[in-house]
Amino acid sequence: MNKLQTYLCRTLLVIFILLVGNKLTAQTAQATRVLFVLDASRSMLQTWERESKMSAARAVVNGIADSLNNMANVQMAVRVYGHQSPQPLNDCEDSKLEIAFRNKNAAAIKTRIENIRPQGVTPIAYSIEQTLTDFGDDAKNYRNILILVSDGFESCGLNPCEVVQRLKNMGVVTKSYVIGLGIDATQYSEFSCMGEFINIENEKGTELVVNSTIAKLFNSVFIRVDLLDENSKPEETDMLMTFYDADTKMPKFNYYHTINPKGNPDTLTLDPSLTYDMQVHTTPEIIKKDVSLNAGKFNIITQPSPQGFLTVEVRGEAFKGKINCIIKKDKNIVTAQVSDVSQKLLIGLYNIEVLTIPVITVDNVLVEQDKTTTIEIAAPGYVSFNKNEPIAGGIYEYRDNKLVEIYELGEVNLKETLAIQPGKYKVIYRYISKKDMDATKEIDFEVISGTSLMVRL
Amino acid sequence: MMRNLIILLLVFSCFTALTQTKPIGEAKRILILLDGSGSMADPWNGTNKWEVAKKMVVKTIDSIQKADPEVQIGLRVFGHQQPRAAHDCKDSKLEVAITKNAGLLVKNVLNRVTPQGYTPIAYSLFLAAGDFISIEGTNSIILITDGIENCEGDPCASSQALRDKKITLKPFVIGLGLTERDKKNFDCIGNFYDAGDEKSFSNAMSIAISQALNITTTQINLLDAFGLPVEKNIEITLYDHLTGEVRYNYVHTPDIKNQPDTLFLNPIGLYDIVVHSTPIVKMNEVELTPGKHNIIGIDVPLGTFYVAEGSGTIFSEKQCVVRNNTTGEIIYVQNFNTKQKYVAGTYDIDILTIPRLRYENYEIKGGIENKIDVPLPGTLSLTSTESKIYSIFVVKQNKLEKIYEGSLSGTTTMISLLPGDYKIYSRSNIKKYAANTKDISITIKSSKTSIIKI
Repeated sequence: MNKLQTYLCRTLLVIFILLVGNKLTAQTAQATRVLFVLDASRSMLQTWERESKMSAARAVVNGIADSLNNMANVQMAVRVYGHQSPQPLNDCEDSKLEIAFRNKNAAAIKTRIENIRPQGVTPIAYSIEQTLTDFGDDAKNYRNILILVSDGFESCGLNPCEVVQRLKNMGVVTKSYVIGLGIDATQYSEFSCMGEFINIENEKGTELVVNSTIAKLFNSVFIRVDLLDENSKPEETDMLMTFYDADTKMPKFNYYHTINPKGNPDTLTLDPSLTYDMQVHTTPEIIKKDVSLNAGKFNIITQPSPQGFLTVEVRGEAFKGKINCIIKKDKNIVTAQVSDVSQKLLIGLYNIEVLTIPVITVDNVLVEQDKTTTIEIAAPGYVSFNKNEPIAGGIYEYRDNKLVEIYELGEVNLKETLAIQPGKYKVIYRYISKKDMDATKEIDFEVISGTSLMVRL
Repeated sequence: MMRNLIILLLVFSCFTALTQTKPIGEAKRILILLDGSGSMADPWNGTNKWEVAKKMVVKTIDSIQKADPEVQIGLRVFGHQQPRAAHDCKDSKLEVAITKNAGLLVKNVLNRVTPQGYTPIAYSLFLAAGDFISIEGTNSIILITDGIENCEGDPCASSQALRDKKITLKPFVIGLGLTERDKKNFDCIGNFYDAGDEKSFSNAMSIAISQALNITTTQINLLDAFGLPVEKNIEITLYDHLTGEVRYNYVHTPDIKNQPDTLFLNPIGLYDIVVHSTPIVKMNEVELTPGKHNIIGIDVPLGTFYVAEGSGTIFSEKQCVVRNNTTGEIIYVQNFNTKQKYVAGTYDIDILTIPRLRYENYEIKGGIENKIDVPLPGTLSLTSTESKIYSIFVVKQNKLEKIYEGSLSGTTTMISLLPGDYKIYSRSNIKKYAANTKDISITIKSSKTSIIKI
């Protein structure tokens, strides 16, 4: 009774989704190809409760094929292994594409697999390798779904997990399901590495599997992302969000987070068959890993992303130049900007490097929710170094009673003009022509903000 | 009474013993040639030039006598006997003849002199040559002036007389009084020490004295990647290890024989040596052996590094940041296409283009030119007819990295981007729905403008 209830609930849910479910947006409108890889090894002959495992496998394939038969933009194909050579021959290349991709071919599929007689071994890796050819050269134009139906693990010594992953990384396989027939719990991990693993415990399980798989495959799921500010209000917005397939790390959907005209975070549609890594393009970025969606529900993802602003402002109207500024979180560069530009940042502490002469570093700058933190720096003064002849030397300042070189003067140019922050400095130099260290000279000068100064060397 | 006598005797015998251990030196003579002209009364750094000069002379004499009581000292002053109105260009007098233990005499003279007259430097130098009684030993003149010769004398003409007597001249200028022409005038007799403040004055003076007394010589070898003492033109600061004060600043050079130049450093105390290479190289607690030629070797293997931007019509003033690869601290900020020498080693380098480029643990090799090539940027001209927000991304191994963001409102924005492939995402601010997120893939080429409508 309990199981029946569950079954009914699920079925109703599927119908509900089919009714209200929009078509996936433009970003997912490509055609789908479903390739069944069906186990017909000898072990499939085993009787399971009333019927053989092969019968259960047929029921799964037939059920899915029937459901998809009337959908536009869906093609199906079937590859079978272990059905051509008897087990003692140990034919590890016994694998054949029995039905090629076509629309509306459920009837052909049913007829063909009705006549398959299990007898051989289990070359899963080899079969999956062959699907590369089945999907063909234009594989990337489709959303390719691989559904492996099997009762046992690879018996030909190869690694099917590695093959599936390779095909996914090549962008050939979009999503893979592994439907196991009475697999022992100790073996789950050997199957789950090939795709989303659903184990059928008994004959009654087939229908549930069929329905949940279809629900995931062919309905968009509605989600809302709430980007929370410091007060947990969903008011942060206008950042691009990228949704990656958590399995292959391929970017699948991009949406600008938007507060719609009704004042709510706008609803997004995603492919429910995937698990996502969500990247919010704040500065620095936020990555929320392994976001799984409930195909039958309206999903709300909340992600704190409180932000404020930071500006490095040069005091004084006269200064028109742009100074490079580097914003770091600990030691890592978050972004680089120029002075007098407001930068939106996640709230928190930053270390700022302003590339003036000398470099100004400001540590532990606090950016607060919705506020603009302004770092004011003085406008530089302009210093012209006029040299009588080529020199070797540099500009120094005292820091903690130590002379620190802040700029190395060029040896060749007889005139150098530099924008230098206000302060007291010293030039230590020597004419290159003088081969005598006592010819070293020192000149002190003071730079005043916004003014020009000439230093004769 | 008897006890006092014994102590006195002991003191005497000690003194004799001390003088005996000294090498039988040649005579050392120093004439202080001091400017007593009217301009020396000008205010300077809170006091006036004359007061500073006086202080300096007294300090100098004290330190000379402390270092070596055998040194003979004299004092000649010019411009102090006649008022300015008298236009006396022969106002120059040997106030204290060159002799041992002249300290007290000099101080007494200084206390009664008032600066007032003209500045006959050349004439005084000419006379000063005659103040030395012998050419044996070492003869030096320390000239202290504010440098404004107003008697139209030619110091070069006096230089021959100085050379004949093997007199070395160390001229010091108080303040920054010398005009370019004056400097040229003095070039034939020696290097001028411009003393911007009292401290640097005092430093320069002690160098001059060390030289005059010829106590200790030092040679600092800056060793390149092959251990050869050939690195040069780098500033070096010598700090007093105990007080932390700057004792000397030099710009390193080989001498005319292409050997690292010999320095006359005061051998008393310990030095902390800082070589102002990029980054600095330190050698702490260096001790000099008095009376000897000291050779200090410091490894400063330098390699040149620069970011070379492809040549073309666009002139850009972009920067790169060279960092310590452990602490992340900025070592130097360098403009594109300018060369800078670094101590050989590994650095993290950030190149501030859009997108930013980062080279971690980049090795700058000694003895060669190390170069990172960066292509010239292209220009992205972005337009939109309606108000939009947009972000520009690079896709690295399928991952989107934001490199730029902004907004447009029926306007055009120009963005300078490195050549390459980018993705631009945008969304209207008018039709505000997430589903209106649009993307476009673009390719930027060096020196070219790509006009993109979003």
